[in-house]
Amino acid sequence: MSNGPLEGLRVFFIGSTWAGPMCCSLLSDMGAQIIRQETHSHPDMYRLVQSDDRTSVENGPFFQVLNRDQLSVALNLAEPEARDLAKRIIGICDVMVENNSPRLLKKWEMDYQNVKKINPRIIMVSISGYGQDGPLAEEASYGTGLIQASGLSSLFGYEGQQPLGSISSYPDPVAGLGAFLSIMSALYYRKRTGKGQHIDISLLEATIAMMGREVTDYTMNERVAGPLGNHSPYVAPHGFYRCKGPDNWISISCPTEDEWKAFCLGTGNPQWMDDERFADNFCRLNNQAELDELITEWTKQRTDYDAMEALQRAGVAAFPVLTMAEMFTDPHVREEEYVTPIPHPNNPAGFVYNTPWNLSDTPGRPRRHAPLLGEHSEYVLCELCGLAKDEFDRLRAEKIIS
Amino acid sequence: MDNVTVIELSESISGPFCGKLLADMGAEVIKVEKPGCGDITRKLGPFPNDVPDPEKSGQFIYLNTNKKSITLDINRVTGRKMLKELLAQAEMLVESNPRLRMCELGLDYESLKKINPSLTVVSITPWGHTGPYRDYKGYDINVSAASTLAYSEGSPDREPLRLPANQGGYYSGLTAAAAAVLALYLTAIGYPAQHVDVPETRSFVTQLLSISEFLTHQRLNMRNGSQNRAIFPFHILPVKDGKALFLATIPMQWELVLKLLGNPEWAEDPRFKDSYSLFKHADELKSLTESWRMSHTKAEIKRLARETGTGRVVYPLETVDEVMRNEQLKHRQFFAEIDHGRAGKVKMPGPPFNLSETPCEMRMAAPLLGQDNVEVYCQRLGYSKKSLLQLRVSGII
Repeated sequence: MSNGPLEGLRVFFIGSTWAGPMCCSLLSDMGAQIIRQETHSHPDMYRLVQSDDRTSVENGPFFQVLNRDQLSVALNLAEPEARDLAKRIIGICDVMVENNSPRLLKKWEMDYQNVKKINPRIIMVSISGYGQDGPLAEEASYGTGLIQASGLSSLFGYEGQQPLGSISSYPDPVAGLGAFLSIMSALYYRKRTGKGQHIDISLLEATIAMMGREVTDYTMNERVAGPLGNHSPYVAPHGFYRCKGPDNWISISCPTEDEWKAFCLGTGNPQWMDDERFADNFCRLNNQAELDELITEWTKQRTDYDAMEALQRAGVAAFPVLTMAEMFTDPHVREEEYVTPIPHPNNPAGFVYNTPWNLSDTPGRPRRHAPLLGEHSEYVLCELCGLAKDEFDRLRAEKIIS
Repeated sequence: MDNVTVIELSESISGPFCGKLLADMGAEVIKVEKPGCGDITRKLGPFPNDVPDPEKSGQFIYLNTNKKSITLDINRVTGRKMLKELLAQAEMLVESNPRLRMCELGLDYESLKKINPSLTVVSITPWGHTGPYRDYKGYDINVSAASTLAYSEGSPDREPLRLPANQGGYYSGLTAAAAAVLALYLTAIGYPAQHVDVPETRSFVTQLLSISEFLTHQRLNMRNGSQNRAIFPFHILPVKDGKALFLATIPMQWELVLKLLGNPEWAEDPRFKDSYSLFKHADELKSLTESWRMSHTKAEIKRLARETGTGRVVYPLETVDEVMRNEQLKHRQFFAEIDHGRAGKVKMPGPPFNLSETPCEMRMAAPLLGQDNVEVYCQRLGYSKKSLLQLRVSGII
């Protein structure tokens, strides 16, 4: 039984936190084998963050979500012999993913120029906050910081107010997706030509590339975009409306006259269709406050799901502002398995995100829990790389395999 | 991917952004637009000097760089016939139409597969082609809501905030592009062409890092107005001329924050020794750091961070104009200028990913509406110029 259509593709990951592992999770969901280098002296930060028991490196919930299906090899790369072993792994891989300092990688002779000598066909992906060159090439960074640097955070806030900002690490999975897309493109090219290549992914650039409107509004009109809240500059009604409960809301949008009509009928308010304040989109945009109040009168009497069902039945785009608790009980999320249980030895009730797309013939899915640190050292080094068992034991005793 | 032809039957953000990324990777992308008005983003701007012009919409120009444009009304019998002729010769279709509508038009996957068994079809819809909500309506704001990300954004005392800047569309478009290239690669290694169903709401699962923690600890995702619910400092706080994020979730980061602040004496207090329990003293830390924060501008903080090597723990909240002046981005020549026939020189984000052997290039400016009708219909499909005129008069192209 195959693990997925990418079975046989082997990936070496040297890095940590979110973007790199997330890219690898998409590859492993589709059947690729991910070998990741770790070390006891500097465990991945995500093995510790939000962990309830930091005396162990096996309780980090973020690590468990991201690193499912991976093989962990403990190699203390500060040691030259460990680096030699890493190079042996590079020799048997198709893809290498890393998010380290370019200077350090060069010092280790594991930058692309050197990796290419070991394995000319390899596709190497370097993921960083700011890119592989430039004044900030050596600057460490986090997704939650890069959303500030991208300008996207400055767009979070209420209409007419100063930015509230967001601390979401949004740029991380953006870069992870970009890395995956680029790897697939490079693999396609390699199938045609036999050539590998180096891919440079910057979290900052990948995020700004998703802000087409704001950048062009500035370059064309010198207008600095700010928070818009939940209203749309183009259509009304459009926003989040309060529902029954302490903190429950529903999202509603009616961009066409037909949908406005459907909304009036669906909420049992046909008289709104004759109300000149709301006669067409332009009127509605200019009477938005009054309209929102009337809508809230309707929504606040209903739960978010009841309101959603009534509106969708009528042909209106409406959906609860989902809480995580609601997500787990949502019928669509459950039936479609947006998230899936993957028990971990230290977290038997563990859930991970499922593959984000549905391929008709070769679906992917996560299968196994994230590895314990160094869990697969012997398998990878001895069985895959041909290291003799007594050598393995010696290197482990000397804390080189560690 | 220059041996790949993609037909893009999509408007707004997610489908076109998917198409743009494929075009960036070298594919030939032929965008099918409604005769007369074309893609809706042509109407939405931004426009130079706010003067609406369907050939000068900034967002359209950005999203549709490197593409060709043909006009076609697929609601007409001949329109569908011509589309099928195109699809018979293409490697991929990217479409973001309601599932039922595609079925009604005879353009569902099973029907298309019969015309061209090697056609990969990428369908982008709010909830996908299967499941209880598969035919529900959903726009960007609804996708934002369904992602669960919106619930944690904003102030606790009022409504949550949707993701700004059309991220519902951009993130799902990026996901679709990833799935599209995956499917293409699979055909190159011997797998049959497939239907790639990308539900926009599903694409956001890759943002859900905290699900495992949520289940085991029953910690609800809460709105705290840009303040992490459990950890200080992990806050966006006011500084002299704006705001900045301060970040210390582990001891190493807290030490760096203190270094940035000049190792203040108050940090010697045992209350502030353990970075994992700083949240208990969040309010005190806010006031203790206030005078430092309010006496430093964003630029000064950046400079100081560089000097002290603490850049990874402090991030000024940049506005779009500040981003455009970013020295790192200038060095990387990230922003690109393209000469668009009608709109003139338009500066926009450059291709987002850098591949050494197959670099993404800005080959062509975004197309004028239907500019490639002759090339595609006459040269490729063999229609005569006279037929083209008839089709135009009939409103089919």
